Amino acid sequence: MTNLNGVVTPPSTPSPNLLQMNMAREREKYLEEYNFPFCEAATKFEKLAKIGQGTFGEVFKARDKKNHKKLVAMKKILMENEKEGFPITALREIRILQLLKHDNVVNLLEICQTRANQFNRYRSTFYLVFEFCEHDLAGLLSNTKVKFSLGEIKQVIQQMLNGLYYIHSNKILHRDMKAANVLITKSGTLKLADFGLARAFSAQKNGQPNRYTNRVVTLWYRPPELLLGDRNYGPPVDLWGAGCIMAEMWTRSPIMQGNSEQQQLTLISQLCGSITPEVWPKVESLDLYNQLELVKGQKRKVKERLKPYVRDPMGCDLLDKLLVLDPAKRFDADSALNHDFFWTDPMPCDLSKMLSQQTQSNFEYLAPRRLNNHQSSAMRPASAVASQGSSTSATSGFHERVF
Amino acid sequence: MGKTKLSKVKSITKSKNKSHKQKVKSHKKNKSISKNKHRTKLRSESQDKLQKPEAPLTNYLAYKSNYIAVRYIFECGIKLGLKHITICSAAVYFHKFYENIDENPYDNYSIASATLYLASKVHDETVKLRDLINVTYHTLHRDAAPIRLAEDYWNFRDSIVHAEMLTMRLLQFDTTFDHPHNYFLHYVQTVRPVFYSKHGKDIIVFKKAYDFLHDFYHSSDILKYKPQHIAIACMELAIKVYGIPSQIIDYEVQPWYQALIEDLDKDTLWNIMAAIMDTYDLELTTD
Repeated sequence: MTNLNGVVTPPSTPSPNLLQMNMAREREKYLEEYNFPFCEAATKFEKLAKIGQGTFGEVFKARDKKNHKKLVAMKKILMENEKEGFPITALREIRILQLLKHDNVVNLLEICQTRANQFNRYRSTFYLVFEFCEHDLAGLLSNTKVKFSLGEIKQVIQQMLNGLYYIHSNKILHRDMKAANVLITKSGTLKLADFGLARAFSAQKNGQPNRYTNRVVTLWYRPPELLLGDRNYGPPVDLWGAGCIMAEMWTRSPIMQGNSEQQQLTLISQLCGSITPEVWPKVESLDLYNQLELVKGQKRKVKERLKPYVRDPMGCDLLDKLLVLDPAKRFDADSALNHDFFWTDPMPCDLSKMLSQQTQSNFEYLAPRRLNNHQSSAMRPASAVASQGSSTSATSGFHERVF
Repeated sequence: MGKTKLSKVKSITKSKNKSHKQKVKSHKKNKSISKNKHRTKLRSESQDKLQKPEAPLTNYLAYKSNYIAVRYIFECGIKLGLKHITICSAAVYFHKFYENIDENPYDNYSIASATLYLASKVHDETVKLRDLINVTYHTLHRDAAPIRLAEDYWNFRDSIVHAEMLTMRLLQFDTTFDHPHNYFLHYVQTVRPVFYSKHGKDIIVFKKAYDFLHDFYHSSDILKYKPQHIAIACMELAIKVYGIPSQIIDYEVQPWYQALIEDLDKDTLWNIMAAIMDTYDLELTTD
């Protein structure tokens, strides 16, 4: 008998085939009936509807069978690479969610599992169970009946920045900021969700620059430093996304919808001006700076182009500070929160009244599809493209392009 | 009265020290075998010059105790070139695992390997399963031929993956642990100027305290106490063993640690120090 030969040490036998088969059958029965002491069965919840497709799994709306008023969102953990054990991405997401406890961050309630049986080859599926949020921002924005007043927009952006301030001060990068990952409860509390791509960050260790993957963030929300191959990035990557989302509050559709990294950079240059060492001193050291074609001679026209939509000069000014090419000069969450935009009339105001008119959930996933000519892959973060086959990912490119 | 207690402590720890040194020695020996790059922060050059008794390599298959299994975690972890804190996390997961099950039908060393694998993922220095299997297998069967990519290998792989899944569930998916190291290093940094001695005695005391902390992971009592308290107890025990490095500290007036921590009373401190010393008795118990 070898040690290290099985979780349940099998009795040492000269193993004739029949005996092995019996043992296998016994093992299967054992697995089917085993009750894990700390991990409840997913059957305690009743699935109501599929409400989304995250970066590493499906999301369902469900309710507690014992307490029908308790609604939850269940996110399936994809176990694609089961040969490597528990997925490291899921492990990260769970750790990060356990660490983050804040009003503006989605709250992880528990983790449950399906029972092992012969239909799932004796491998359980795990679900992350979250508190249920009625809407996501992309869904709300695509619903033309939903109108935000300036005070309400301020409330949304302020909460989003509060959430970002909190996660960044806990040394976590979200790395997948987009409207679909911003949830809003019916009482008007905003929650940052989907930490499937999030990771902890640190300052450089022993002078060694960090080497994080730059294949993160959904293309339309991806900041220029990532597009240029930066691997030693930090919180500014999330603030770029925040800027894009903020502009979207008025334009109602993503402001820069590129089909490729190259086109995305072009769109960024057309809005924020050409990428040059004059406006961004360290840009020359980035890997792809010399390899990609960068549009030359473009002027920065963030304010001019957004003014027709935004109108509020304070709002334009904050956007101008967030959509900055050089990550070192981009506003951080703290300075953004101190911006006059949030401290001038109309002040941020309660969302619950406006949301009470919404009798149905607004999810991007459930929003009516329109004809679109965008490649669906453009909407998904790059790293997810590799791992997911054909995903029904969300955002149908409803609206014409703004720019 | 306090003095007799103190001298007793001294004699006990000194006799235990030998076995402790042997153990560390056995780690060191394995290190040179594995030819990996290792962090040798633990001991300085000057200490290596000291003659240490030869220690035989542990024949793990002859034991079945959690103490020996944690030694196995440390040996494999060092061979795999993992960070110290990663190995400590693995030991913590191991203790939590056994804290949460009633009967024990599980193979110690499979669980130990799985916790190492899990810890390496948690601390962002994932080891390849293949490497892990090679190292864990050959640490158990030291003279065995290289394991071939055949049925046995795939069985090992499956068993580690399964054990990892089981461990995750028994940990209730909570892989966070507040290690005493975080506090220990800050405390040392803070008291260094006060403890300073020209003869380097303070360095010896701090090193020994760190060794105590490291060895305390062999005991499941590591889960029982607050990390801050464990850090203080390790330092206090080292002071008890080697004497106070500097005359500035006067216990009659105020114990030194009260400047660092408020909620540590004398009884708790003594309990933890006793638990640390008891760790060295665990080696003799076989189950």
